[in-house]
Amino acid sequence: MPRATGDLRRFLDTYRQVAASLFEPQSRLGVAGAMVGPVRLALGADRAVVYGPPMLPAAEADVLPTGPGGAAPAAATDAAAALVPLVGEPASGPASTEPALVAAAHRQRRVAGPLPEPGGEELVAIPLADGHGPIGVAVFAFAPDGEGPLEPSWFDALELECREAMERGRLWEVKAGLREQTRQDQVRLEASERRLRRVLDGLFLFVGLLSPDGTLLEANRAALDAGGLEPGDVVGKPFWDTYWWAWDEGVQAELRAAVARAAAGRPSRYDVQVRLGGGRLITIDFQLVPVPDDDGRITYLVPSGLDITDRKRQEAELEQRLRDEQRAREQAEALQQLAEALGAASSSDDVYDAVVHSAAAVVGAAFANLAVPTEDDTVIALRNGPGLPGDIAARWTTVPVDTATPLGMALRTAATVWAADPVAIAERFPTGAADADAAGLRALGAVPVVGAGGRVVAVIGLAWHEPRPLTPELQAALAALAAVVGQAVERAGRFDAERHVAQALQAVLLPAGLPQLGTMELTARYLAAESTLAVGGDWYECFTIDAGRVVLALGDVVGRGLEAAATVGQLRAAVAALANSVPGPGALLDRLDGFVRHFPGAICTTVVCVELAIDTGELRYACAGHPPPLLVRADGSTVMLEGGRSTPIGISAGPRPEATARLEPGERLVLYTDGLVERRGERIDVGFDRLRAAATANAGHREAAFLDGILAATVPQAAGDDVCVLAVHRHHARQRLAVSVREGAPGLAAARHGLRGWLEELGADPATVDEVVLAAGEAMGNAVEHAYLADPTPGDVLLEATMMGGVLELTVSDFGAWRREAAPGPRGRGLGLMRLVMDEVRLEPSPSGTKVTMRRSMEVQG
Amino acid sequence: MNELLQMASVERNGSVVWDVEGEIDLASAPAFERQVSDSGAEGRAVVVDLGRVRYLDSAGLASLVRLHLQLDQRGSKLKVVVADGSVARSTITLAALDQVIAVFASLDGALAA
Repeated sequence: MPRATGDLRRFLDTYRQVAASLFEPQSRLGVAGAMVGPVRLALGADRAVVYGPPMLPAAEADVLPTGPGGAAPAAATDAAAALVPLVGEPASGPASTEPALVAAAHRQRRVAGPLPEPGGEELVAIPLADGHGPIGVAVFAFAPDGEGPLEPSWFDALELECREAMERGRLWEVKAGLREQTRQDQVRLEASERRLRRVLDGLFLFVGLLSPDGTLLEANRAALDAGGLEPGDVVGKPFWDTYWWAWDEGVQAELRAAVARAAAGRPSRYDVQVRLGGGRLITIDFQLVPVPDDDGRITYLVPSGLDITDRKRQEAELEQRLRDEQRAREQAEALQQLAEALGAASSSDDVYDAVVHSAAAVVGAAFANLAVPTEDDTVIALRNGPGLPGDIAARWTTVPVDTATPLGMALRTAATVWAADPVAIAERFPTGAADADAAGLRALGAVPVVGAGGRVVAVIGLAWHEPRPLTPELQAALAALAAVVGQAVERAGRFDAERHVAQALQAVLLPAGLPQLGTMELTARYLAAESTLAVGGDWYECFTIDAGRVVLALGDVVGRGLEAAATVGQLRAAVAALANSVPGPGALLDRLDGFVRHFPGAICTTVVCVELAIDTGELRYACAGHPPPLLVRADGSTVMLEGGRSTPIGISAGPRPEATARLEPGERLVLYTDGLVERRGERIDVGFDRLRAAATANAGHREAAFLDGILAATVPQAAGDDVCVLAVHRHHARQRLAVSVREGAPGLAAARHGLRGWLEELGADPATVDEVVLAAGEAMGNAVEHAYLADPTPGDVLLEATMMGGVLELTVSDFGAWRREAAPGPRGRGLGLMRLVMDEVRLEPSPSGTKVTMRRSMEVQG
Repeated sequence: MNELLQMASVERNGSVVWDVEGEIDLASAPAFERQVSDSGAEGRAVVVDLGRVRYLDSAGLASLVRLHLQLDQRGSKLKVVVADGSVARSTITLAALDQVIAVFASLDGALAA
């Protein structure tokens, strides 16, 4: 069976990988390719295939204001039968359920499956859509014995991600198409312009003759006819005072200057408007040329004009057209950039920022803001983009939903609200009219962003410096904008929720950091039940009580949900407070019995409590109604530690017994909650046997793989209970090193020296030692320098090194929040150096700190 | 003086020569950088012999880059001596810093250049 571990971290890791793979492709077919390649691998699927129409409908540039907003491409709505495998490997065999599953996913536009195949594979079908509607179906097939994550909610998330990727792909296609179209238009226009000039050059010519002082001596018939004039009307007058010119003082002055220049021997040529009969103005290409006699004296001036009104109009149109196209291109690019920024966003905050900074450019507006309703939908919080004067922006940070503002109205009606000019603004939205006027905003619009379930999740506000009617083209562009933003808001909300829950769970259920335990390596896993959102009652706690001893406690509170989480918090606090003042685990449980009198929610909690001597591996333990700890020997054989048993907390009388055992080098102790061994309708010893077999099978792995292997083998898919498991591995002294960097940078050298000594003792060759020490030094230096920016007291940085199976694993953990982006400058080299000398370098930031894991194969003696 | 790092300078052939021993990391790099920087004067090369440095990381590399730029601006010049096979040599080579900074295998070579 494919496994659903429900592990939040794994989910988020997978999700991140998937999102990254889907981000690259620049076409919808490319997205499909990514799905059968990297996405399939990230999901752990065995096989993947993308079905689509025999040919994807062309991505038309219809969302952009370039044309009359063509119809949406014909969506293959009820044409599931017409879907064919486009990329990947379709199911073979006549009995396959794949075609039916594909049809179902396509028709219902919902994730279909998991459905078992006759051959044992499990299939999940995910409907694919872009901004215009359904375009196909992706199928992922999981091998019967695979470990692929297969929780339905994951695939809903994936579907959303795919839809967004497809829309991005479509936008890339639009952009590519637009570029090609612009190029062709330009070629066509240039050709027609050349033709036009040829025609016009043979046409209508006005010619005249002036004396050098500008007096008109003669004009040709064409010029006189065009002006409705007779020679007597103009001949003998200064040329600039004639009917053609005497309609504008500027034009006249320009002509006088040209006459003066020509009289001095210099010709003029310029485009100018002259008056014809009936007052009509035309533009002429005007020339004034001096004519010298044989002695070189200027005797005449020859004015001539060619009617170029049509040419001018053509030029203006061409310019306008090019401007329009430029704008369309810029807007397409802005939409593309916004989609990219939104794709990279991992929180609502990121999404909102991207929107207010880029939305205006997408539709050619001067200003954009975003309004998000608060929980009770009475007030909207505004986030203003750049371009609004500070004092006005300060007045508009929140707005009651029921005021007459475009934003409030769009939120209430879920429809686009428009005020195309100042008059409309003043009439319909008097509240904001004065501020709009002061900010120079002459048109306002508000576009609702509709999320899942038809609820308006946000409103995009837009404003222009000039009146702006809501044309169909603009409407199409707004719809595209709202769709892109809507998907991002929805996805970001999911991220937010996951993150909040993960943080809440970690804060309540997991200790913030692990104690420093010498050769003891401590690893824990917590899996929530069924849904990642169900808060369970499983918990663990571990801390050192003095230099040589550590206490581990792991338990299961009755109940579920926030109530249980609160009890867990109280129990953990109680354990921590009591552990130092009691002589051992049995006594600690006795004290917890007393504690539950004050916190009745803790009655019937089961707890296992272990006190472990770090140097010797001696352990004392006691179980209050809890499954026994499992000891896993170096050779993989297992022992249940069945001593020290008593009833659950709150229902015991008298001192609780404890027992002792010893953890030898190479051995592991595993504490767990009953979700690991209990299955409905199954005897408990079957569960214990399964756990022991899984422990044996995975004993050769490192800690993470050891625990994951056990969980995969023991926790049923869609587990009904949550699960907590904690393992302590006592390494041979030679295999394990753990040192702390204290007091920041001055402590780095001591930690490096510890590592160097340990590596030399292992027998690593000197060059390798230098390189590994360098990598560790860089990682620790980075942690010291970056981890504690918010908190100036340097916290601890923990360096752990483990040698197992010919591979050295180094981890450097800090417990401060790293700056999200690496510090600029030469310090950035650190990571590069680590990557150069180690085989593998992985950075895992989390809310509580950052962990760097590095691996390198190494030859050592013995 | 930082225990991590010992450094002493002598004057040779009109150049300042720093003999550096120990470890250059986040903690000791600032002192290293300051001392070398203070010794640079116009027309006088600064030779830094890192042959006996047992540890050099990106904090130290960053100092070298800054020193190189600073001294260059003052009409001086930074020359780094790292014997073949030394720890500093391999770090500098790894980071490809030898393409930026004048690196020599021996002190004599650096003084002659």
